[in-house]
Amino acid sequence: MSDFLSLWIGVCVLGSLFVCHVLIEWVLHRPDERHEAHKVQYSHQSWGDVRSYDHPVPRSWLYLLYACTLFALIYFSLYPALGTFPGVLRWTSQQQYKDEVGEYNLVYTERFNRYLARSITEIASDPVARTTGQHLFMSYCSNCHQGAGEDRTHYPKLTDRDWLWGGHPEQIEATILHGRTGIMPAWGSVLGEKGVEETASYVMTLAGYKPANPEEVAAGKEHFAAYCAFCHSAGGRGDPRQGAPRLTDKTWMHISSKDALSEAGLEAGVRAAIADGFVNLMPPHWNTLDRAQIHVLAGYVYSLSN
Amino acid sequence: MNTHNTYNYTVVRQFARMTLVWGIVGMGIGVWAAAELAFPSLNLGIPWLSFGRLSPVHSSLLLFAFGGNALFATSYYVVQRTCHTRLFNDGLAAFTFWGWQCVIVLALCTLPYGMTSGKAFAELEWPIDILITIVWIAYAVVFFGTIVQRNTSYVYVANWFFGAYILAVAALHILNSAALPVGLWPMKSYSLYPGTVDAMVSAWYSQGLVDAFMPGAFFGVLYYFLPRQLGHPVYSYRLIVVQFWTFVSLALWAASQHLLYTALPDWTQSLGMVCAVFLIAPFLAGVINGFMTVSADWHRLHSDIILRFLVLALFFYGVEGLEGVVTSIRSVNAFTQYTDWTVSHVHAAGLGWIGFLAFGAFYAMLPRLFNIEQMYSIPLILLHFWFATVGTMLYLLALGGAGMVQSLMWYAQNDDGTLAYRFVESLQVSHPLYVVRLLGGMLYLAGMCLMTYNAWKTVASTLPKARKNEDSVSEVDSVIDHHPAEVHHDSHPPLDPRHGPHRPVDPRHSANPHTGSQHSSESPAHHADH
Ligand code: HEC
Ligand code: HEC
Repeated sequence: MSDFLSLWIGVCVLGSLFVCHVLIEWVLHRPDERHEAHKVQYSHQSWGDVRSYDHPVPRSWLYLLYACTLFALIYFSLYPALGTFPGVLRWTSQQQYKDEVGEYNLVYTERFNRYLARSITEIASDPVARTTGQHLFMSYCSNCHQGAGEDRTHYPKLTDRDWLWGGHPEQIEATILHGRTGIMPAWGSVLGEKGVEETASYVMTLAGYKPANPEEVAAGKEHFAAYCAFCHSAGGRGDPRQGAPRLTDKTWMHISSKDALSEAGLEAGVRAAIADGFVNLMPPHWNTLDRAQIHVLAGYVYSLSN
Repeated sequence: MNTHNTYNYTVVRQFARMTLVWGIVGMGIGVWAAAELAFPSLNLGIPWLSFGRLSPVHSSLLLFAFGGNALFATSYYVVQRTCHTRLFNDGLAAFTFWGWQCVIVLALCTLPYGMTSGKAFAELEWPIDILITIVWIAYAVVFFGTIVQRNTSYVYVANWFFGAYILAVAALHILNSAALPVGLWPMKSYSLYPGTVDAMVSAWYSQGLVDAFMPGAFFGVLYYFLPRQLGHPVYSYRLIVVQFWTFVSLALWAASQHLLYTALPDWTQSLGMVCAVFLIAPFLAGVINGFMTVSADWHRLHSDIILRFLVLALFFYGVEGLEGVVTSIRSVNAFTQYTDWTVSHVHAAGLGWIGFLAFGAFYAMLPRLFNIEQMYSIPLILLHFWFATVGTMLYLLALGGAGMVQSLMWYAQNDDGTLAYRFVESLQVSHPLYVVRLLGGMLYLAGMCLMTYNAWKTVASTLPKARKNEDSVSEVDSVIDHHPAEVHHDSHPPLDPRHGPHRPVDPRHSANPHTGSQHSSESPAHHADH
């Protein structure tokens, strides 16, 4: 801001304060001729059905006005308000932010950083650290994962040992730090309706259901070897490098636990999964949380299943 | 005296009718939106019924259609009555009525479909903005034209407040709505201002309209209807003068108090904050003046329900104003900003001040407009009063409480420096309060419906008579206006001896219009005789 503009602002503000006061004083002390002329003690003006008395302005109001003015003048001299004049205190909102963050860091960052020196498994077995981890989880993760262990379709359960991206402490930390994107292609157009049904029948046998139609299963097995084993591995064991889930257990991420109860519901879910595919995003946290917090979180998540 | 110089009540009646209609629609939508906040599935999966679409419809309707129409009605009424002259140019006055209703209908046709400029309280798109500008200029011409051709030597203070509102809203509306149109259907435009400046202009507009000049204009209503109802003048004329000038010189510069701790330069924020704190002066001046005016007549609150509306409005204005001043202080603002406290605060002004004044003024004005002694049912007015009072209190306490709790929860920290609550927990705590707020809103809406029914019956009861002399009403106006029964007994028949002619005469009141005969001495006709 140019000095001129700054000066202009200052003059405008202080000038209008001054003019306001002069005007007010004038109004307060102005003798009222009409008063005299009409010889009516109270009635200042009358317009048909309404009038105004002309009581003086209460003292208390005047004092309030002076107090406001005093406040304004003090504030203007202490804080930035009149253009580039920074104020005696040299306060800025940025500095206040920095100070507050600094204060926080002074107390807590060091405490957090001590965790960095400890391994994730150690953190997992330390109740104090686990509590902190839980607090962090509640603030930053529970929007999606809810309270850990609660079942929610499309989000992995973190309390079992069935991992998409691997359950080693370092793998968990990498998941939180960099995020993950699980991509399951849509196979509907490749396999056709019949192909999808056949493959689904085969996947059902992997999950332990008796096949209704062995021929269909055999065809499905071929499809699986051709199109799916690449990610889900032969026999559907899953592949943590690609986040491809194991299909041989009874935990399902994309099929609601209600549907998974009945064979028909499950099969419908599997078919939909194969035909439509998914893109599922676990956001990265390196840019929102600091390393120590992520470390503690990894310890907490690890502790949930170990 | 010729008919030319008598009042144009037709347009006042039209505005008054539509105020009631739009009030019900707008409050109804508000209640629905409040219900959605408590029970989200009430949006029924329909896009135009979703909260984001309903909310601007609700606020636009109540600001422009309820508040706006009420101010059109009362300002046209007051300016004629206090200037002793007919409205300037009936045709133009009628145009403001039809034009304004057109704006509102267009708002209803565009906002629900997501056609919005996205600016708070100025969501309407550019073609409607242009229409608003035209209607507003016509309004200014009618209003100031009437003042120019007045038959009185001075302009009564109530008109200053209306006048300031008209001028300020013109400036606010035109500057804030400046935009580059890019499409007519769907309507679309882009603001002329970049980022932070746009935010500042938008805050300047919404503070100027919603926090300052629209509530301010209702002082025009208060300073006419309060003395009219009491039968004696406002306490201090000088206090009004200082109130008015401090108010208009400060009110437009306080907007940046809504953008504390944002990308706005620090000095702009501080300046706005100081102006907002300073606003305590005009605001207290108004409150003091109002209460001092009533102070000799507290006992009348028992019998005069209209007076109760006016006095309670003043109380809510006090609450709202003090809140506004305190929360404009930086550190306090950091606590209340972005919580439901803000919503409670604006509704103290909306439901409490604007609503109660509009109700009080309408109950006083409607019978006169329709040439009848009093409203159809006094008990219904009483019921309305209690519905509105309880509704407003429930609303303010519930959301004010919710705001406090939210802020406390968001700030709360555990010993280890982590946040104590999830965001959703603050919502869970707020949920019952949202239900209470919904209840408050429903009560308030019910009161509004009672009023409309009452007004309907009042008008209906006059119909055969009115039909005969609808056109001649304006001619006999000076007689009606000073009908003795009107002056004090609109809402309370003289049961109470204190109000009757036997009341000990206060010397200050001796020349007061306590009876019809004195009143008629001030009729336009009489004035013309001078
Ligand atoms: C925006 C929603 C979202 C948020 C916030 C989120 N996650 Fe996730 N998370 C997911 C999704 C979706 C997946 C599954 C990704 C996939 O399908 O590959 C996932 C996967 C994971 C996994 C891997 C599970 C496995 O089986 O390998 C871990 C561990 C995890 N999240 C921990 C966290 C932690 C700790 C946080 C908080 C810092 C967090 N998440 C925040 C959505 C989220
Ligand atoms: C490109 C690698 C890839 C290929 C090829 C692939 N999948 Fe997947 N599949 C995934 C991933 C990754 C997921 C987990 C998606 C997620 O993270 O949300 C998944 C999920 C699934 C699921 C849902 C599991 C659950 O827990 O809900 C089923 C069922 C499935 N795949 C079956 C198949 C079948 C059958 C085929 C072959 C037609 C196939 N997939 C091919 C990567 C693949």
